[in-house]
Amino acid sequence: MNACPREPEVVDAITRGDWTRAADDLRAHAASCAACGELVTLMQALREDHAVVLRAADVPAAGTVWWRATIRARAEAAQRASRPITVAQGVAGACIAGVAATFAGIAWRAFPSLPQADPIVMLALGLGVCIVVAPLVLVITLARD
Amino acid sequence: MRDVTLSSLERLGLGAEAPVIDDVTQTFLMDEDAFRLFYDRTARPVWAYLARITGDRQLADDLLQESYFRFLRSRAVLDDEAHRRNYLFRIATNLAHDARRRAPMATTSIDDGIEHDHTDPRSDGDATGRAVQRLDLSRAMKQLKPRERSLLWLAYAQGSTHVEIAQTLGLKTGSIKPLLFRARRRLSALLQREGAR
Repeated sequence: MNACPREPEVVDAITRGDWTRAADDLRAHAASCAACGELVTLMQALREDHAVVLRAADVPAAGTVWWRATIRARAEAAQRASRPITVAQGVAGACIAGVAATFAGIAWRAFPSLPQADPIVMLALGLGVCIVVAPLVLVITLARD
Repeated sequence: MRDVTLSSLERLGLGAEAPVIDDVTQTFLMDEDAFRLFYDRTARPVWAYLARITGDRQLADDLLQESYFRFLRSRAVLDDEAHRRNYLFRIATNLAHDARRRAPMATTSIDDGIEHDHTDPRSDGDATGRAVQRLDLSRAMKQLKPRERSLLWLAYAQGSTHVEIAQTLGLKTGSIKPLLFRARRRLSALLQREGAR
């Protein structure tokens, strides 16, 4: 079956209203044309279904939808605003851990009886602690959020 | 219009405890009065569209809310009501297709709970025949591809033009006619099969 050039007329007639009130020649054509006949049957079924589903539509009130949208937008804005603070907390935690490691190294050197290490090794250890602790602090902070 | 149940957001208490941020509605696409008017004109057709293309009432409820939220938060420049409407339907289409990819099975069928109009002056037999016809249509629609369902619903149920359908589905206007014809042929074949059962 091929499309019929009169299909737009059929669609227009049904979309505008009742097919039974369409022009006689168009209805006669649809009765004899397989493509237009099929179109009429499908359109009538779909439009009836549309009317039934529209009647069944039980949508929330506009005010409720607006209220929920504002609440959600506010929550998202709050989350966005707190993100830099979370990152800063993570960085601060890592710095504290690094400084603590450095002080621990200095304190270690104050006791000559303990085995001594190279200052570069101590610095590397401090940095290592930073690298290990920073992601941990971030994970803990984000999990808390 | 109906009362609504609490969303997961509200159950988590975000609504009550969210800190006061500068008026977030300033970032919305329209003010509350304009939204109410727009919503009252579009909510039912959007819900019907979502319900028929997903085949799931519950999902249609959720997607309706999400569609309007995304619409309000969008930064699109929409000159007139027709553009706003097409844009809203486009958001709804994308959400429905995404939801279908995530969970293809319907949980609450669109045909559950739809009351058939028994006050119709036509005979009971006629009403039953129409109900059966609608059920066949519903089953046949479910077997179509999502894009075919959207095309048929927009073109034949809603009476959208090819330009509007192209805007809604993100297709070229020239491709609508052949796609629609193919979808129609498929639906017709499926309905014949359903009717023969």
